[in-house]
Amino acid sequence: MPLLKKGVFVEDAWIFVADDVPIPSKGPIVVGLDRLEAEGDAIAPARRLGVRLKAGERVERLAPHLQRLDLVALEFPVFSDGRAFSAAAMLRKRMGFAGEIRATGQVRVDLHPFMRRTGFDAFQIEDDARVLRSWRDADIAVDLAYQPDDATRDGPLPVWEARRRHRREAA
Amino acid sequence: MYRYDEFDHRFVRERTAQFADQVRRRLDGTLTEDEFKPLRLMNGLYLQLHAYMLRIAIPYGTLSARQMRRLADIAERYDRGYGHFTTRQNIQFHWAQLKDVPEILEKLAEVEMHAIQTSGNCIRNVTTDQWAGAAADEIMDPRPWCELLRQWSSLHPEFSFLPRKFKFAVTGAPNDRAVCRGHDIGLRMHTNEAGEPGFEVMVGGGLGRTPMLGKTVRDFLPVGELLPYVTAIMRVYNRFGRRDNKFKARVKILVHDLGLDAFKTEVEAEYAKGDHEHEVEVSGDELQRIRAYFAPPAYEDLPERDPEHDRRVFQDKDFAQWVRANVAKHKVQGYAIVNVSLKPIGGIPGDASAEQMRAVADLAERYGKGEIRVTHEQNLVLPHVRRQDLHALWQALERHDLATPNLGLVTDIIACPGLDYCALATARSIPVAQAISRRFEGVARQDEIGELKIKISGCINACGHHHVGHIGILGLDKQGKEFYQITVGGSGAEDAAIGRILGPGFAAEEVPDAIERLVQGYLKGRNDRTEPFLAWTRRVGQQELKEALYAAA
Repeated sequence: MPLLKKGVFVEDAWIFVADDVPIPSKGPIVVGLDRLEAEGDAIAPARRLGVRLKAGERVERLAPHLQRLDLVALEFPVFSDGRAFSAAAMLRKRMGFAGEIRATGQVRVDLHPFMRRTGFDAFQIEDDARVLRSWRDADIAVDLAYQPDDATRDGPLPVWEARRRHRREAA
Repeated sequence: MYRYDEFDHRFVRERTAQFADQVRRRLDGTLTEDEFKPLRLMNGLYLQLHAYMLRIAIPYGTLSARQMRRLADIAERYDRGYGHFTTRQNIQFHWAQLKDVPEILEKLAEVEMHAIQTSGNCIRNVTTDQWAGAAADEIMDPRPWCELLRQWSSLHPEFSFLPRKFKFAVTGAPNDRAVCRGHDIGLRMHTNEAGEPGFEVMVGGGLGRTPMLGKTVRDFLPVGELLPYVTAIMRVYNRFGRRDNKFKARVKILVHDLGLDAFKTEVEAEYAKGDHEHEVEVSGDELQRIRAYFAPPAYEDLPERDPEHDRRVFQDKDFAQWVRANVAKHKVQGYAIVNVSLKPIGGIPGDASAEQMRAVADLAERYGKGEIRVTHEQNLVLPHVRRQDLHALWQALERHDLATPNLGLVTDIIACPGLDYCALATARSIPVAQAISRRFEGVARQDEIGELKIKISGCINACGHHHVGHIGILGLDKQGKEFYQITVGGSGAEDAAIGRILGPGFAAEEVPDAIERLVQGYLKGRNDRTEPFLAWTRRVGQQELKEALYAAA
């Protein structure tokens, strides 16, 4: 599936391993949460490891494994299901996760600003001509936001911060 | 009033451009209707029975004269010459064309208005006491907090795709005119023993098909902790609120299913993690900036009584009736709060023509410091009028059919648009409201009956707040016929209660008689004139209420 990072489509080296399929012998892998908990310790420490969370699974369960993880994939089962926004925000801000947070499922361009601001930095997009076209030609940029944003440093300027700077300059 | 600074302007302009692009992509087919729906809803655009309906935000119900004139222009140019004020202090236009919507939004942006988050599963327009900043009983002005909440909730990255819609109401007075217990979060400002300002935080109120009153999760939250604390509530809701059934998705169901104590424990645990501290910083200097916009207007030093006003009240009984019903006590001596009724006898509750909107704008500038409020009861308010100007203002309002002296009386009816417009409705609301209004037309009789709030919804979604009506009327569909269930004893005020059903419902044409019988029962059964209808319903038993409602003709 097409993968967008930092505004460009890139090769995806990660293998998403289904729960009922044996773990392949090499390559970076993304496993389900239950499997991570059951078999995580058996995976070679040097191997790159990721986990995928379903929308209802508690992100707190990742706490004991975070050091070991390079990627967390969060699912949007339908694009109006916003639970993954909270999961991403908690991963970045509360749990200090610095690896890749990847959006999967119904990943639509109109969600992109919300995703970026909660800490997503990789977007796995359905291989569908219509959906891909909207990622190419939509004009969805809003480069201001009211909420302070410390999930991403390259996000829109928080209005309250802009005002504070404005006041400082005026003083 | 709050005024946009360069950043607010830029934000709304960018958001307007973004939505214009979404409309373009819908029209060229890049977006399917399923994908477009949540996007257009986040911008207040509904697809109704006959056309698109555009709902425009009036943050905490406050409008300037200039903004009101712009709404009049939009009514004329893009609608059929009128607009409909809603129970969420917003305005709706029912005849908009999709292709015109970006242009309407641009015209709104020019006067610091928008339609952001007036629908959809996000944080909706924040509502408050329509008399905020003017009411004699006010402890603290809620508007700076409403504005702070407005900004904080606008395109919130984490809370824009919630399980269901989410509504805030704030009051700064002990007499709750904002239905705080009927909202997902209700905030009541008060002070603690040390005299410090804070909020009582109520969560899980809501009407709809499962009416519930909000429950208190914090008696006293220091004002500075508002944003971090509501962030914790929102996060608990976003993560754990049900998404499998839209009728079970409001936060009231989560509070109910978990139980109040378990819900509180979740919220407090989330809050205790304390990583929302940046938002506390925000409220300090930012709140000062916002608060400056709500400084009191320049009041004159006036005597409490105006002899000329007193003389006119004495001589002109129509004026006296209007003053009695529609004028409320202001916190500043010599001033009054004027309620402008949008409930003419036999009219459509909450509708105003472009000509009436312009008249109100002119009168607000001439007599009311340029400020207008919209009430959840679908009326308008001029919050700061000199007592000595009341007579001239009344005469001018009369000329525009805006001086019906019925505030809080039996003909001041709330009604949703109902089956005449709404795709969700199961029955009509407006004709029922009109029929009741005509039945109780006489001013003297309305006065005799006293305070009586009738609220009508055309389906169980309860946009007409029928659950909290002193008399509530719910329109249903029974084998293809409209059918109305009547509830009694509800209240949206500080004594909030959900009305009770007394028995079988009525056909549309039977409703005015049924209300008449209840009113007769009340007039006969009340202790005396000081016992209002609501108090009577609470004092007497179910049996007596039933007998009144179902009395043989």
